[in-house]
Amino acid sequence: MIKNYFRIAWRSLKRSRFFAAVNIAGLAFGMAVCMFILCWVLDEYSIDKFHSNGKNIYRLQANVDWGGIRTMTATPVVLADDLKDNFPEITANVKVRTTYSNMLFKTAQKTGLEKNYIYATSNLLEEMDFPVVAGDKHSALTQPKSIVLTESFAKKYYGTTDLVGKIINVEKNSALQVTAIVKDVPAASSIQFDFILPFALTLQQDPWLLKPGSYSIYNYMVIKPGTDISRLTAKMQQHYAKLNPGNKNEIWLQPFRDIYLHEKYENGKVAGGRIEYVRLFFITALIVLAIACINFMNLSTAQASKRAREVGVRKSMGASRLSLMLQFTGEAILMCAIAAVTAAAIVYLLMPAFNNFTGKHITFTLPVTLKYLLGILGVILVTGLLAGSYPAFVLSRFLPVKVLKGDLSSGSGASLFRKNLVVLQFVLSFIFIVSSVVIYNQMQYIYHRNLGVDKENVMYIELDEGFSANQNAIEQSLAQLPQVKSFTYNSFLPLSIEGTSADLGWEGKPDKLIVNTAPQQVGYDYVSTMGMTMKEGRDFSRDFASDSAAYIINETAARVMGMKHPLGKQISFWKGKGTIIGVVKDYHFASMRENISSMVMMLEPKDNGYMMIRLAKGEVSGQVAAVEKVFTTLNAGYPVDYHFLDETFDNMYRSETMLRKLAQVFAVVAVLISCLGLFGLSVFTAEQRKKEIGIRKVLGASVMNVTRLLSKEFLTLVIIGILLATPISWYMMNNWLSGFAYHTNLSAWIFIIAGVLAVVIALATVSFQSVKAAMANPVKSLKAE
Amino acid sequence: MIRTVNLQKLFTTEEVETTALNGINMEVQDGEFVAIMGPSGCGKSTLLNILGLLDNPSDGEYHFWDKEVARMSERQRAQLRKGSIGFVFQSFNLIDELTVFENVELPLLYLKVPAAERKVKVEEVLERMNIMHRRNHFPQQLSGGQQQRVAIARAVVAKPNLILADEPTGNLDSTNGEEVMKLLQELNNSGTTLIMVTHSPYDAGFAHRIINLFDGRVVTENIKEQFHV
Repeated sequence: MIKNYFRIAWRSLKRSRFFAAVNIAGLAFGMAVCMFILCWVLDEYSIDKFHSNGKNIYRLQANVDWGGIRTMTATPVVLADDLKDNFPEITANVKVRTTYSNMLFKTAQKTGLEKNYIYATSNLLEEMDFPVVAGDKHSALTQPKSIVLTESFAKKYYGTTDLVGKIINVEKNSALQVTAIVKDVPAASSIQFDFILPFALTLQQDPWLLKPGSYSIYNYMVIKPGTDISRLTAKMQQHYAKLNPGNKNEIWLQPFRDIYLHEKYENGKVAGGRIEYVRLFFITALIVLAIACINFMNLSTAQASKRAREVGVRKSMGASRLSLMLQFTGEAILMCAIAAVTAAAIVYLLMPAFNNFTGKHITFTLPVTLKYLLGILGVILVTGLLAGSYPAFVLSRFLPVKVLKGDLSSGSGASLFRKNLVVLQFVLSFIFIVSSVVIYNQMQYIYHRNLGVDKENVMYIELDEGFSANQNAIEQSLAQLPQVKSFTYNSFLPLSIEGTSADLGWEGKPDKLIVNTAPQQVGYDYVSTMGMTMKEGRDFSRDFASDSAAYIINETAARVMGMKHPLGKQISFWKGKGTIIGVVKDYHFASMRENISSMVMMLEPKDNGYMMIRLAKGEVSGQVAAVEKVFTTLNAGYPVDYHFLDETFDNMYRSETMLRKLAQVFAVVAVLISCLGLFGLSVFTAEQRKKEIGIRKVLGASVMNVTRLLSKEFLTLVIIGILLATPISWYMMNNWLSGFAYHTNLSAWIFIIAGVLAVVIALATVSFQSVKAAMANPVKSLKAE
Repeated sequence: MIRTVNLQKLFTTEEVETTALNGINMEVQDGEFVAIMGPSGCGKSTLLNILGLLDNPSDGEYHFWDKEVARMSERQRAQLRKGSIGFVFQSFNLIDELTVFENVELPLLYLKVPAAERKVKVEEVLERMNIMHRRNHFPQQLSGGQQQRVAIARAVVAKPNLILADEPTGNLDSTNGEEVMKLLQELNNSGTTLIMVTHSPYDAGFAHRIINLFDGRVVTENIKEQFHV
């Protein structure tokens, strides 16, 4: 009997090829999108889960009250040491430091600046799963002058991994002995490095790390299995409070495995993080799949009319309703399987593009494949049952007495249900359309908003330690280049000042008031080079020796300090007491998610972080080459590490950009699938109303009349969908936009355009079938009676 | 085999109530061939559907082999239909996706007859209906007469005791119609009970007895030849 079912399923599939293709394509499309998202979600969940002892590792964190509670994910060395000494539950403390500075590697074949490295205590290799392929994992990082390399890094510079015991030259630390080679760090690790330097080395270089107030080290605490973490935390807090009377800071432990997805804190508590996107995308995946299933239901029930007679015949032979339901659900599962195979092929082929798009490294290798295969099988079954159950229910309900006579009306209840499905599809599609338009708008807004800084034509070079010795010569050469308009320095890039300081003081400042101020150490002619605008006063200049103790503030700082005429007034900041010589118009030195806060600039013409070079208008590659040449001649031995300010700006909004692209993809997919469903329904209706159309035409209705009659019904559904979706999408997008301090407004035209778009697309879909039905020869449809 | 007492069938819509059958009392003996005649809309097909357990009467009794079946559920009726009743329709109602062989095989599948036995039975009946050479064709590839022969083959393959035919020659030309009627007669001669709805007095001539319906009532019964059990 099963064979018979399959045979029938296959043949009816073949007979109505077009229908089957449309149906399977819709489902495959939806499934592929769903699979992509599920792959991404699974991958996000896999981050940091590969450490065998991972569930006993926690990161020590501190909530500090610096005019508002802030959670510090890096904590003082001395605090971790003290806790380790006093709590036997803590079996190990792995210390990790990351820095942003470049390190020069130089061999006969290759020279490069490397920044993907960490400093770590020797127990890192013991407590976490970074397998050592050569060398001793217990002693590899105990001596300050040692280095641990990953396999591919070793090969990249030295062409071999057979390096243990060898001395290699690394600028700044000069000769380091290779003590171990480790396997390349998996993409699923949040701790990434090409090489590890001993923690002892960074302590030698930066002894201030040992100050109690230095929050610079990631302290991973390995806790004895079975320990009650909340009790331990309470005990640790008690201990801490006793040692630091009057200090209200809180210390706590966050599970290492959770950190990657939950690294956003509010008021000292975990408040989301990447998990928000994971959830959002997971729900989206389900919605896309739901739209595809609805589509399948509609198309299958539309096909039902063609199968009705078969149901009648089978029933007259004694087939039970259950056996018919099984048959049709089985057919649905077969279709789903075909769709799933198609979808899997799409996913497989497009995975490289997807990885590129999301920055992931998802590959299909065993045993991961098995996991994904099981997942796919699950999706097939669930989708098949979900999508197949309704058509099976409708089909198996046909009364043989009726269908054998050709009466196919399946009752108003069923058609109402189908209509609701179409409305639901369009509600979801409309939400996707609106979301993608709003996100697109917001991104346009961000990109085109006047930042207060001219980010175009600015290249910047991260300075290395060779630079200061050659600074004068380089400056002189650059000044002579026609390609360079001007140059200056800053400690932070102008669009992303990291960290704030509570050190700002001024006359009449209330005792308890703490003003978090962004510090920026800059070179001469900073304001003009960066294309900022002075509200009053002047830029730092070589003509005034006193500028070394002067400050430039932004409008917000002036406002916060209550100064109507700030020029010439005294404030105190990192350079001690100094005079305000200028007020710069507010500009965006952080993401637009945040309000512009107060900012203070001070002069640091030497030994600064980045050289900012404004290029003259013209052909970029030639200009870059000219600048590069100056550096390679005058600062020989150091590769030039240059970037462009506008690219850095783009990177700041990478997740929004991804969201924008994804929303567009989802919108297109949702609309496409929904239209397939609508198309199916229009075919169904045309089939059902064949006789009516025939009679109308005999009585004189034109093709136009009939087309309008058939299309009107669907347009009503689409419009109901749009009306229902408008408040939902308004609420959702308003919520999203409120995450930005600077954002566009939700104007009515967005909804109008999205609505018109949906209606036009729907109309185009439906009218095709309506016109076809209207043009059919009425004699045929009436004769069939 | 069949006995109805005061059988009623009402069709109710929101505003009108139509009486399709109004107190039908009839009896059909095992092995009998009965034709039901009457003008369009007199209730012939409704009666046939009730007799075939495809539909329930609104009132009255229906004894099928001394079992009261009028109030049975759809599931019970399906169970009883299986194997004991065969249907022949005016429009053949073959499944387009199945070949001749597969169409005929269908009732046996529902009766869970093993594959080897199915093959023997289907081939036997195809042979009998003289359509064996078209066994691998699909219904659309056959003429009307051939399609109806397949339909009859399907109706008889499970050796039902009762065959219900709803205007079996209605869609056929006279030659093919004659052939089909002869087949039915043969079946009856070999012991199968036959009830046939027809418009054609010629076809009715093949039956032992003709029941005339008018407005849902039995008006006359013409016994063409006495039927002996």
